[in-house]
Amino acid sequence: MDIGSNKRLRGFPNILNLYLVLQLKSTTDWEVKNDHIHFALKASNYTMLRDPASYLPQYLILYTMPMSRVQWIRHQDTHSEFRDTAYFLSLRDFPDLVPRTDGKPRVTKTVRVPIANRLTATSLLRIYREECERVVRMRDGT
Amino acid sequence: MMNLSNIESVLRNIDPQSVARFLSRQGYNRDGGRPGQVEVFSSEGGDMILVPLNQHADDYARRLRDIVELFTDDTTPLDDVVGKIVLPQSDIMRYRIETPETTWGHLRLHYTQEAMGALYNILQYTAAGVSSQRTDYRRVSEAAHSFAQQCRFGQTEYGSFVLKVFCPVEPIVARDDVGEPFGRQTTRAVIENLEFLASERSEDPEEPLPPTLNRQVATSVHRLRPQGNLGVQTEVLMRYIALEPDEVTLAHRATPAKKDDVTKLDLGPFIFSRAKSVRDRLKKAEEFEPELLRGHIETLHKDRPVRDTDQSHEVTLDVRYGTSRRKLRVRLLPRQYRDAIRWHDSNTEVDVDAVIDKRGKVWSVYRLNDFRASDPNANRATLFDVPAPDEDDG
Repeated sequence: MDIGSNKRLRGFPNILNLYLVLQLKSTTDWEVKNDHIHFALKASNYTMLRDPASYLPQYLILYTMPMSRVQWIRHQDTHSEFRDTAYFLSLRDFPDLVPRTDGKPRVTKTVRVPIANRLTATSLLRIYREECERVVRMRDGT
Repeated sequence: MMNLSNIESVLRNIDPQSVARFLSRQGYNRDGGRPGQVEVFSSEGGDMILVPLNQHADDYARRLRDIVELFTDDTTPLDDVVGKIVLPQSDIMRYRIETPETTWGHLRLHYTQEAMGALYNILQYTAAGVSSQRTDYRRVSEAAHSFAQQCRFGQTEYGSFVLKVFCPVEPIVARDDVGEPFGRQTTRAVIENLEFLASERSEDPEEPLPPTLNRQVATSVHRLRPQGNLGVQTEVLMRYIALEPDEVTLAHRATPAKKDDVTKLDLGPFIFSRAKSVRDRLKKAEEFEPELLRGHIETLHKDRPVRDTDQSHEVTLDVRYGTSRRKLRVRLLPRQYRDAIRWHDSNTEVDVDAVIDKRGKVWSVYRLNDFRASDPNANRATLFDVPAPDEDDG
């Protein structure tokens, strides 16, 4: 999934084809340990998300949900609730997958998603701004 | 429109250098990037575009499509942008036909054979008219032949029946350093001819013919006539591609436009019969002998602009005919019109070697053989040397 903007964002450099490439995952099997959520990502997804050749920013979005299906979406009179929360993680600069000791290919790779990385409108704009600034530095050779 | 499910397989074959050249033509400069990965292009307005460099990356075609889509709009489909990236600078001519048959997605093969030949001839013989004005051609100039040879048939579009032709702006062999490039002069002249034939003016014998409208062009337009009359609609859409600045010849040329210019022309129901009448009129002109008339340019008709050039390139002369004087209207090529302005302003006497239509109160020209200042010295008084038009032995 690619997310970009077809409008000028005030105060942002106008990069016409800068998109955030998002890999969306959801899970009901999660718990927070030491302010992180451990998530077993498919090896192919891991390899794609950490691809050092990709010039577009790529993020894993992990959406945590309650175990009980009936609690995923709750409709109230005035609003609906989507539970629980989405978190983001950039795998840029993550190490390459190390082969298993028995020589078999890896099927998954567990990543640790900090709960501080909550995906909100503010954090999404911050990510986009940081990526814009990265492109400007690249343009300026700094 | 190109089959969009296949577009990414087409884009995969476009190299980053072609994209870079395309962006340069659109006013973007390469400013930086990461070697082997991405280049950053910036416009004067501060817009930036990222160009992927790794053609083997899985998402290369997808990223190129992101770029291509930035340059599409209501009149510029995706495949036109792709054409602008992969082909040398070309104007794009679309001949669109809608009949009850095309509604169901087919057309008689016989008609397509006729239409293709007719379009080829319209382009070739209009180009011949840009080189030298004649009413009839047995052979065309090398420049005209070269132009027609370098035109390319574009992929057929869905929705209605469209013949798309890419017309090189500056075909090899036909370079003209004065004014607009040869190919552009030709595509403008094609529209001028079609516009004239689609209008009632073509029925007025006093109305001078466009300078590049000859018998072969009129015949070819008549050949485009679709079968049946009910529910038939034909139109031509010409996309004039923004010209690249040419440092060598820029001083001689019109300022390059930053954006493409699109002309849409509804050919209407009568263009084919009018083309036949004009063809017969031109054929009749062959029976008359050319004459040499001398006089002064009275009016430059700057108040009669046509759609594309903003000038009709038409002049009226006051010429001597025996002991009396006559008005003579003639339409000129752009380079002839430039001379005409100079001679008008300096009140220079002019010789017109032409076959004249004398049926109206104001005479007009069937075929212009030569248009020159009577004093040979006045012909040379140009700021830049004007190359002679390509020789034609037709």
